[in-house]
Amino acid sequence: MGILRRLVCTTRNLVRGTHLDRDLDHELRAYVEMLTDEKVAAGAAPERARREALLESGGLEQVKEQVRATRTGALLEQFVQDVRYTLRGLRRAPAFTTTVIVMLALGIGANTALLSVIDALLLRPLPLANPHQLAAVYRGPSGTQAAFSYPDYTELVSQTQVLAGAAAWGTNTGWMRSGGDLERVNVHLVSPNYLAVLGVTPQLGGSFVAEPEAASVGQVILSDNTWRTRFNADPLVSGRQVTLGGQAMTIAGVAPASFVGLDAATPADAWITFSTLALLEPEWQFRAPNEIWLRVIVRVQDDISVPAAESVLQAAGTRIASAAPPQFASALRLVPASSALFDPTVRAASSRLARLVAGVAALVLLIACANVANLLVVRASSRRRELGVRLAIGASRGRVARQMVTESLVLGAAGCAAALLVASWTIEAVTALAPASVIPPGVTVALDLRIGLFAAGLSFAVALLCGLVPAWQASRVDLLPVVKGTTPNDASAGMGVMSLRRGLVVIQVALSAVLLVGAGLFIRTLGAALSVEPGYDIDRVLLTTVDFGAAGMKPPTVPGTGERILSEVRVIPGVDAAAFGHIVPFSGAFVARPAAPETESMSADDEDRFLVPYAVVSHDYFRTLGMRLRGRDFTPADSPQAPRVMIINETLAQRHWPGQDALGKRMQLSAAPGPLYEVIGVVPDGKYVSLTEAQHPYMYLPWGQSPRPRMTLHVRAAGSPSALAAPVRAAVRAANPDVPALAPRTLRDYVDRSTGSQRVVARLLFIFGGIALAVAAVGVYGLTAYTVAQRRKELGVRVALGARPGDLVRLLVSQSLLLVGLGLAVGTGAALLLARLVATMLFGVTGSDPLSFAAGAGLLALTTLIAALIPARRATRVDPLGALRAD
Amino acid sequence: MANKTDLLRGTLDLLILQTLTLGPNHGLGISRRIGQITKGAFDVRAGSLFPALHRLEERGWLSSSWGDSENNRKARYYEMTAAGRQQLRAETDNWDRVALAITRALKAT
Repeated sequence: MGILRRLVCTTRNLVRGTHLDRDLDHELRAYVEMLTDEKVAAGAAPERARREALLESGGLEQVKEQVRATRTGALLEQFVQDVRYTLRGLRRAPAFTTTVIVMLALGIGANTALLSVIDALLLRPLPLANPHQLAAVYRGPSGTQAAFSYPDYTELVSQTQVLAGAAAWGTNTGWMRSGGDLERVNVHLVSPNYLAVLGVTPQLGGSFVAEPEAASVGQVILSDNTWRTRFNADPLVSGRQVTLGGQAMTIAGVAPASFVGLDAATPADAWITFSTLALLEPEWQFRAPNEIWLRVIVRVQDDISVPAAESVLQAAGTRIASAAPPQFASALRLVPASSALFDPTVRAASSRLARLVAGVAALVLLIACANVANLLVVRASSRRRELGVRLAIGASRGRVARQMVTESLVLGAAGCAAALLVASWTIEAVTALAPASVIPPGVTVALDLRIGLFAAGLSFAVALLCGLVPAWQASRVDLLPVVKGTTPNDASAGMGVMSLRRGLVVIQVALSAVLLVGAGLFIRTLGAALSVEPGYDIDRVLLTTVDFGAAGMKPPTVPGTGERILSEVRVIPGVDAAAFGHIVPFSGAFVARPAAPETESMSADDEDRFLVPYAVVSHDYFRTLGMRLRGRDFTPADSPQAPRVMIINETLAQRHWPGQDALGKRMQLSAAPGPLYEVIGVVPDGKYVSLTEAQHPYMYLPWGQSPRPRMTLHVRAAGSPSALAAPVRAAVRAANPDVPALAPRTLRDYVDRSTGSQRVVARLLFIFGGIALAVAAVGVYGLTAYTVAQRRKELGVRVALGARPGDLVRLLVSQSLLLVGLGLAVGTGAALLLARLVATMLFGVTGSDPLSFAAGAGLLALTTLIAALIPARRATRVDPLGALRAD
Repeated sequence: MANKTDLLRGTLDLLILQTLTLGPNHGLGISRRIGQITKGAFDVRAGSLFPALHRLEERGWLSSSWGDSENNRKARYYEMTAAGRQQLRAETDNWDRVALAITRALKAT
């Protein structure tokens, strides 16, 4: 039969199924009527004739079934039937269905999310033409040195026998002004052929126009993100002017959305060529041989492989190395640059982490699969009677097995859908929580078709695999016992299944124990960190970094302009105090100078011993931060001409003048002869970089005497600091429009970021610990319920012989608890070992913290006890006579 | 009664088509006619007949319609289509060839 006809028939049969069935019914009834008439005409009584007619035809329903089976698309129709039947059956067992789908969703969802991350970081090719021809050039056999000078780059450009093109690039930051607002942007500095070598076509405008060595007007290509956020996706943006680094330049075009340059850690907001760079930084001789700052990317010729090209380039490598300082290796390495993280060091670290997480994810999947398999086995054995009946009324074993496979497929499909949901949530969470060192800002993690197909394939494979054994077993059900009404306990299959389930429960409990203890440790760590007194009012301070240097100001003029800004800011309603400091607490920034009392002798070699971290601040700084000052604050009188002064913290004071008053004492700040600094004030200790740091000395210098080009404006708010963000920015601009300021952030924000990794770990362990706990509880519950079902007869006998409900419960629960105990022992041991590995990340607790262990183990024991009690208690309500009879 | 010889599906199709050369007929009528023309060698039961009829109809060799039977009952009548006639000719030729070959084979020593 032709394909078209087959298709037409199948559709017709499916769509008009009921109509056709009715017709068939009529037709067969008519047949039986006519047969009856025949017999009556031959002389039989009407009743008898009808009976005989029915017998001869073989039973109306049977014939109908046979006709249906031969219809085109009968298999499909049966499949649809099976699906409907499966859905009905699953609806009647909501606990089973939900558990299986949740297990699949978690196991497969986690793996899918992980695969997306690995794909985005290590596997997916960059959106460039023929990315497999591209390679980044490194020095040294392990590819750790990435920087070259401009003459080195020219040398590589000349290697045209193996290279189709070579481009150079470097990264920097700058200030871009568009529409009155100054924003800090990442600028990539590139050779003019950069876009051509990479094979990137701008989505708007064109690539860089060919230009002489020193152009008169700069060109810039914007990133898609910059174009959308700063220029409102204006389609006429090319040809317009924008100010970058204080210079006006023309916008040559906009890069495609997927391209953010070759450095995932600093995605490009704009690209400029070297000639434009010459305009911006006329004093920087970036083409000189001693400026080693460029990274080089090359495209090998079509007919050459990357390793072959690499060996040819070694000669050039030797020439390059001869001109470089001795610390640069001479071997050149071509590292394929086809995916986002191609730098060998970064890639290696990323791969290590990926392998670790993949191991955990695979473990989660295995546990989920084992659970699903268990559940399916249990379900199959509880459906014996139903299957026996189906077989008895005429279904073929193949048909029955097919229906069970359909059930696996339906569960697989549902599991897949749920898994994709879980995966997308996990990806969102991971992208938001992962630190930039793990997932650089230039990398976007997303689910795409390939990964979706992987998830679907995995779901169906898992569901089918787990469902195959029970399906096969169930289809071998003996009919005779079913017809007789006695279904035997399948003891032989039970044995293997039981020990598998027991082992599974132990593993689940052990894993839960590890995760719960870990969660306890990290939650306590986080709590300890957050309860540390930072030494100042974190919740009242707003911070804005002001870059005086970008406006071309020299440091000595900074305090003058700064004062103007301070006077503008102080009159804003809601502002209690304002000051400048050049180090932002908890930002991770850190500078230090040697500081020794004048009575001690400090030589040049000694300086390291006396290093003390410091910050340059304006007056009012301590009042702004809420620090109690003993002595006097800096004033504008502390000018370059006045005697040098400093303010120190308690630790520094106690270190050099224990038991005395440090006020009035003097310190030298370098080994070379220089002015002495008088201590005019002492402040209590605070936390300067992280909440979990140990106490250490700190000192403050007045900005009049040690000015810096970039200072951070600290503003103390009477109420909420974030409410002052807009007025503060406006005030800074009003005071001096040329001085750019970063967007304001609260001090609380900086503190929270500094505890970011502890927060993430605690959160993740809490979630996974919770999930593992639920899984273990379900496992114990299921095992106990299964045991109860298996031992019904025995329980009936016990009750008949006088056992009390309490005895029964104890009997049933004690077995499960034995397994739990074993799991706890294994898990606690593992937790102790693993805690040693993460000891450096803990704060305020040891790796064997008794409270965390007790809480984790206790919670686990309690939950599993309840999980075992529920089915055990139900067992006590078994009617002994019913149990004895029913088997 | 009851010659429960298993008819090969293809042979049953051939027989059905042959009986319909004389004109349309309903299920029971076709069964009786087959019994007639094979001189009682084959007694086609409903379980084999109706699946075959519906299969032939799906293939386009038969068309069906509702009509009145002899005793004024509503019955489903089957009629051979032009394509069916072609199929009958082809099947008949094929059968002749096969029968001839087997006969020869059996007669050979």
